[in-house]
Amino acid sequence: MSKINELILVLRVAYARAYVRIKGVNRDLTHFFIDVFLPLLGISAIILAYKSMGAPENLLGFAAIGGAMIAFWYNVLWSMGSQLYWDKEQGNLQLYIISPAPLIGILLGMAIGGAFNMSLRAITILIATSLLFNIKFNLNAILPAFLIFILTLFALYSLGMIFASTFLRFGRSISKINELLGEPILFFSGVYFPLKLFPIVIQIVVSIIPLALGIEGMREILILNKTLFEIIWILILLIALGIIFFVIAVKMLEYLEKLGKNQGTLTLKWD
Amino acid sequence: MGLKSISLLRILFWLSYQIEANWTKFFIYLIYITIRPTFTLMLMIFIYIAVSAVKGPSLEYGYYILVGQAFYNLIGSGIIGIAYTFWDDKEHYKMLKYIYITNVKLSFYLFGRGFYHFVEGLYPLVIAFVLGAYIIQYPLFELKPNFPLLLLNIILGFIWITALGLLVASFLLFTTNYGWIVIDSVVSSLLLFGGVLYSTEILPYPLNLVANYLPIKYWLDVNRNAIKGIDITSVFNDLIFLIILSAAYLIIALIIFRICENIAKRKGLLDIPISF
Repeated sequence: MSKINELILVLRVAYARAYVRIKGVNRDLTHFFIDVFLPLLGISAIILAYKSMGAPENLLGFAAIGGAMIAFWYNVLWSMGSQLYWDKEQGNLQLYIISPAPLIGILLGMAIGGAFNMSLRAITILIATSLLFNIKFNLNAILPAFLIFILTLFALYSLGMIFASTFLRFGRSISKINELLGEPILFFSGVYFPLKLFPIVIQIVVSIIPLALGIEGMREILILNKTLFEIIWILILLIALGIIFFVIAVKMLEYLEKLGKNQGTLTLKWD
Repeated sequence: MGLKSISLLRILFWLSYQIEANWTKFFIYLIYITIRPTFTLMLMIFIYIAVSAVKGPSLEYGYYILVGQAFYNLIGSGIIGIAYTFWDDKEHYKMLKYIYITNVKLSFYLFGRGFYHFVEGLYPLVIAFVLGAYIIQYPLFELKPNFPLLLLNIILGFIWITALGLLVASFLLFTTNYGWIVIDSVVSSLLLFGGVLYSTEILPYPLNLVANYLPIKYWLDVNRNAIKGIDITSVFNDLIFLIILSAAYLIIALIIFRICENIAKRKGLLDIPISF
């Protein structure tokens, strides 16, 4: 099969997997309402906490943007990272492998579908928060902010693809790993507060977390009215992280699939 | 509570520990249960730090959030301990029918499982509290807690948290895929309406009235005062409200749970796992 045909196959598989994910999650609008309403409760509490302390307006906007992005992290952990493990448990993984569908296409489809679903929710949450608490964003800068947003998703879901292939190897303990990665990463991403509160060393270390970079970038543009040129380092880092994570994910998936076949663990349940 | 009940409670406590911790060693498990509440608390503490960086520190606010969030984590642990246990046993492990063929009532079984989660939640509470106090530079060693009041309040907390867990579990008897959503809704609502991060007076009317009927508001206030060592007479009103509300919640929860359980039995819902 030529490289172009391989690529076409990957994209077709990605489309098929993304279709299932998007259709499955959005066919019942109750889910959409719940996915928006529940985070809104938490974000409202944070914004009210800021208001009760007489915080400056920009901190409210910071919390709104960070709060809207939280869903992406949980989606990456639970709907990307754990997915191949669940597929293995339910017997779908072996079906994927005996079909001509490349696993990377399946991962890509999961990422595109998940990112699309979460984007709909995150944007709705942001609009709802803005209306509820009268938070003003620099709407003239919506395009550069959207660019940062898309690059964040690219880097974040590429990281999710690494998790998915790695967690395939971990087995049952992934739920514990997911739980351990949840809140610490949200904390180090500064979802509710500016990253500048961290010491400089920690700020440097957390810049390998796409969520932290993306939130910071969007805040700089939408709240602090900075131009894309002024935060070009965020743009470059997000592109670099996205590419690096994507390449690692592809290599890791190939390696772990091969390892799983050699050791006969690909269909081993409850390990 | 008779000797038999205490013995059953001990067994349920042991069972819960085995289910939760059998995947690792005790020391690693202690670290595991500490990480999530600690980082959740840190997220909230940094809200205070963010404001302090602009407006200067106000330790009273820091203390308010510190105690509020540390004990709020315990609420989450307690409610999830009952409600999620029930959902997990019914839908995931499919063990509910086996519980019914033992001589333990389902409500007591959930009470015992919840008791474990509540006690387990006390450990990360202490760790997170000390760490949080250190971060906001609260003079921890100047505190002279009123331990009897604190203990009484923790017991009252267990009662109303158990009641909320049972109420959620009652609902979960009939639901399929909405288990986590119901649990999350209740826990998140308590964060919004319960005076965890701010005084409930800041809530717009009529939402501020909701808080008056939630035990969490009085419970957290008594905790804040008890840790500072304030005398019981100073929090008497809050304590009375808390006792009344805790008792009312427990009675209502037991009645509703019994009614829902009977309906579920009649309709044959107890043995129908649908989520997985």
